[in-house]
Amino acid sequence: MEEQHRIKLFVCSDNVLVWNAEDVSFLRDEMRVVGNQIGCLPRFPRQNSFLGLPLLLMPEEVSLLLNKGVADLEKGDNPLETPTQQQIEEYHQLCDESYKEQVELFREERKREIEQNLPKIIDGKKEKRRKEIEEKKKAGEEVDESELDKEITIDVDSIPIPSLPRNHALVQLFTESPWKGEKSGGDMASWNFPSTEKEKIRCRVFQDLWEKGNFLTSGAKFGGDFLVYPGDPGKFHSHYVAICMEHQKNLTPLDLVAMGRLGSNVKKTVVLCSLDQEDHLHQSQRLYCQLVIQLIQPIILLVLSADTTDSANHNACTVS
Amino acid sequence: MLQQENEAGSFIYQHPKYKEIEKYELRNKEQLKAASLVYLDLCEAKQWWNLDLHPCCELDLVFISGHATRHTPRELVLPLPRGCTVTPSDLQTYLHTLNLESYHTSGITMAIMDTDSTTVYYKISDGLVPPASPETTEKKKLYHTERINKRRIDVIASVNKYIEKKRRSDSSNETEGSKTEHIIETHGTL
Repeated sequence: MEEQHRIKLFVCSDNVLVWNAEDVSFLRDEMRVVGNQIGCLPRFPRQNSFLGLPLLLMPEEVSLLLNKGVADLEKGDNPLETPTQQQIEEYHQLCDESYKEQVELFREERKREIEQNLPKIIDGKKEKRRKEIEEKKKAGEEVDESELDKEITIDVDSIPIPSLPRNHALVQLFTESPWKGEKSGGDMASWNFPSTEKEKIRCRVFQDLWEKGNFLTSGAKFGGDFLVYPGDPGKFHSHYVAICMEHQKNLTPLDLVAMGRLGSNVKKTVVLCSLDQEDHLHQSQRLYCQLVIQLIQPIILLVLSADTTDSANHNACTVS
Repeated sequence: MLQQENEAGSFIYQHPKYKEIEKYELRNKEQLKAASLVYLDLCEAKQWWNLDLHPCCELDLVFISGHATRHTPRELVLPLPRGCTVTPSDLQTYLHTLNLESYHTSGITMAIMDTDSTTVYYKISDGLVPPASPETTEKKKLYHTERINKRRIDVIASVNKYIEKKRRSDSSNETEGSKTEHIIETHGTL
């Protein structure tokens, strides 16, 4: 990160994707941006509980990364250019080199295996010799009994190991073009998010909660805008469900109850997030400078269940 | 149903607490009614301590303060009738405006009251409040289960005590001879 690590984000039909595995781990470890892996794992193509590259980013995450100046946005849905003759040659050379390396590794691995199983192999050889001698005995041949006690030694290096067949060799599949750097300054994509009022609120809330040191992911599964994690989502449960809304949005008390119920059901605290539009004259970026966060927390001890109706009335009557 | 509501309504309008609230000369009648019902709920059903009513002329509403148990700090309760609407900005104003002079309170408990006086309580706080640490929740759980266990043990103990007492009285009756059989029979039919 010394010389400013810049990540390439590719815009593919309005979806922003990251293709480089190192970039993905940098985003997660250094930038607290989690995203969503949507690609199929090449070695496990018939399942979808574990997914791999590419990483799909939420628009809020993209805006944040662009604001922080750690990423460049490039057009990702251009058709790939046909490679030049030189590139093809380079590719073949790369494949050959990789194959040779793999043959070496394969031989070493095989040798280690043989060494590990050496006692078994020797036992097997002894057994075979014993049987041969017994058969000779049965046939009435003259047998040298002392041969049975002779030790058998095997020199591992002398065993011929066939090389790895070419079609069994591993082939590297690139998720990102290996010719990067050569083609720097690809087509820059424009980014016009946030554009609507709702998007602006979401974006600003995302940034604020992120700056407080939280990890954020989409809250769609939990009926909110974001889930707020105190640490890496792989290690922590989320504490809050953030729900973004306009500062002047009318809520009925029943909406509040619904949100409280949601929170207690998923064991998270519901956070109502809105932007305080404090000054109309400030037509600058600081128009929405103050973020107001309110919090609804169910007090479990006090929640009356719905069927204990008329409790107040009832009590009122007893008082009278 | 309607008649019942009217009755309840007429009752609450007669209640001394409602009369007390009326003296604050606030215009929001729905909220006044909700406030007095919530006051009664807290006082009679929830058994809160040292309840107090406070008018807020600025926002045209009444709020309640009290202790949930004898040892917990004072809390504010804001009655909200079902028909009203609130915006996030209203909630913010409530959080900033409603306070007691002599007490520092954090957050407000909203008492949301339906037309049939079903009340649900939810707390709102200004700013993020981190959840309690696992240790405290563990302690709470332990306290809760201990209390239930204690109650169960108490019940068992009193049942045993009752059985013991019964047996003793029965055995003393038996000494009286054939008369007791008749008594036991009547006991059985009872």
